[in-house]
Amino acid sequence: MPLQDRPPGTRPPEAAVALNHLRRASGRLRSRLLALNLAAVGVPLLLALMLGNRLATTVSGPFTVGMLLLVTGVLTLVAAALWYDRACRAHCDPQADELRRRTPASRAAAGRRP
Amino acid sequence: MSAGEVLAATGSGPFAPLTALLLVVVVSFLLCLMAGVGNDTVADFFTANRSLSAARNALALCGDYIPTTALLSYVGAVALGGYDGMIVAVSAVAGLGVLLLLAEPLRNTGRFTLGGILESRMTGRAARGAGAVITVIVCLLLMVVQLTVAGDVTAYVLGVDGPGAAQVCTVLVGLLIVSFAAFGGMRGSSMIEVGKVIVVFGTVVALSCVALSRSDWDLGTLLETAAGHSGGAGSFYAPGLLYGHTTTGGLDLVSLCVTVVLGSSVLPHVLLRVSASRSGPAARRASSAAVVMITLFYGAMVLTGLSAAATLGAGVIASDDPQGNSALFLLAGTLADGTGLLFTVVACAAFITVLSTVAGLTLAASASLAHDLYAQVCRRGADSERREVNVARAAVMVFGVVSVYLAVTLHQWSIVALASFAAALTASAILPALVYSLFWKGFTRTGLLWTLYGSLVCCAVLEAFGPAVSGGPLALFPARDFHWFPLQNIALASVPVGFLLGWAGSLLSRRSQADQDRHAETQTTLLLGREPLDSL
Repeated sequence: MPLQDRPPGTRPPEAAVALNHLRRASGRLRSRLLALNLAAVGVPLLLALMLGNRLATTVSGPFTVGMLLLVTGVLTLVAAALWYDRACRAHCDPQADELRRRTPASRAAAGRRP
Repeated sequence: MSAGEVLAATGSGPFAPLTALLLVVVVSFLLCLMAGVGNDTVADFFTANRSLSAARNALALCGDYIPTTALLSYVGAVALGGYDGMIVAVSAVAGLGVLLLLAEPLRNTGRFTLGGILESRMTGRAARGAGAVITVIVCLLLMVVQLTVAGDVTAYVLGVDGPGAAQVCTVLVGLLIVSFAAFGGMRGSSMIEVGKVIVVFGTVVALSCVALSRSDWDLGTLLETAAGHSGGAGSFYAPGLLYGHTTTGGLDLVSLCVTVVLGSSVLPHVLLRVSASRSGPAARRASSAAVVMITLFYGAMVLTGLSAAATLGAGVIASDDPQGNSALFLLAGTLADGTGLLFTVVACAAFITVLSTVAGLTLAASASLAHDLYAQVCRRGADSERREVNVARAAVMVFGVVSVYLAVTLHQWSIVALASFAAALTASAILPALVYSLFWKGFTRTGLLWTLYGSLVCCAVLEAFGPAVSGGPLALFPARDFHWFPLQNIALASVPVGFLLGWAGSLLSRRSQADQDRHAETQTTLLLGREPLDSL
């Protein structure tokens, strides 16, 4: 039986609680990465639609507002990718390893060919 | 500058393009031959026995994100489109960001084809069959694009201008590359991808450095010269050069970015690549590292595009090819200073890019044909592994020959329409199906089939009645005009439709008990992973 399924009225087993905790942590990190990625691409695109030629306004020398936006977007993408991997390693991987170690039965169930 | 003039500028001898291309072919063939020796099982052939380290897979993943069309068109897009080209390059980086979100759960399913991944969530063979159909269609379209470009590039580099020369090159190059995929499998394909990344990255960096050295290593001077040769900074560094300053033009730019971000993230050969990782966390690490590498690569591509604009000017590039696909070669020919080395290196980079992309696509399509359709849907898993590998090799050859035939037949068609359609279909059909399958409890088989087939129909209709097919000088049928959909890039409309169809189909149908059980089981698997190799 999968870890999260239990008969009604019974307390969830420890492994199921840990699994739900892992799912929430993983989902939370994924949502943040999605928001950062959306912002990194969405903001320059929206501003390109709204500001038009004003993006070519110079900031310093030949560097323009548009270039500044794009560089910020790219740096956000890179920083978000590195942060996500690091956060998953810190918060999710140890929990997943612990669950795999504690619940060998779940591995057998998961490994079964559907 | 014509192809003959470019070739004449490169000279002959050991740095001649033909010599270098032959060297690339021989080395690639030897690599595939050596890698293919151990391909006895399905896991070996399609996923390299899930033995690729995170670093190696990151390099290979990076290679998968640099198809021939990207290598040639982004330089031209930046040189001709200025800010628009740069924002498209940023979108390409974001595509890997989307894959990063999905990489770990995708690898944790333990499946390596789209059909397999979808079937891990839904009962019945319809899901696997539909996934295989979409995979083959996407791969076939992309193969035609890549092989057409391969033929054109080879003929261009070799300076062959006669009638039918590009088609002959397409046939020769296509059959050669397909045989590589049949021999090498995933191991061979990965080795070529890694080699490609090194060669292509080195080439783009070298070009940028040579161009920068001509501007006294001053980026500001390069930017000013690029804008000066392309109509001034006021227009070159503002949006609107690619699609115009109208509302439709702005929406087309947004649609192109949506196509690039979402369409490139879940291509079938990328899914196959993710499945070759050792584990879910390894797939995530590889994707994360690939984001960094691809950022550096596209940064160098933007610099190369600006160098092309500064060195050649938009007028020269557009007169040689209105879409700017030859800008990379023109720049290399101009910067070569008669030695020919730079042009030859660029020719090798383009050729090895074609080689690796086609090999990856062929492998992904053959996985769907041999594993999904033949072994699982038709034979219901009754065949031995050795027989399935033999069928896979045969599928590689059959798929390759069909692709080459179509590429030769459709050679005069605009490849932009085909590439745009393939990317939009991936973004509208594959992405919603995967996102819903992995993360939505209420997704049903009906919703899945509506998403896949409904998006296919939607994309086909929008593309057929859009300006990419008729109504413009660069359209598929330039002499006719039956378009009513205003956007050249259809993803802005088709992606929401794909998601809506999946949602509506799921709401209007009932979830079977078997599918609910399968979902509950999948939820554990997506977090903890599946034991490798026992669940292909």
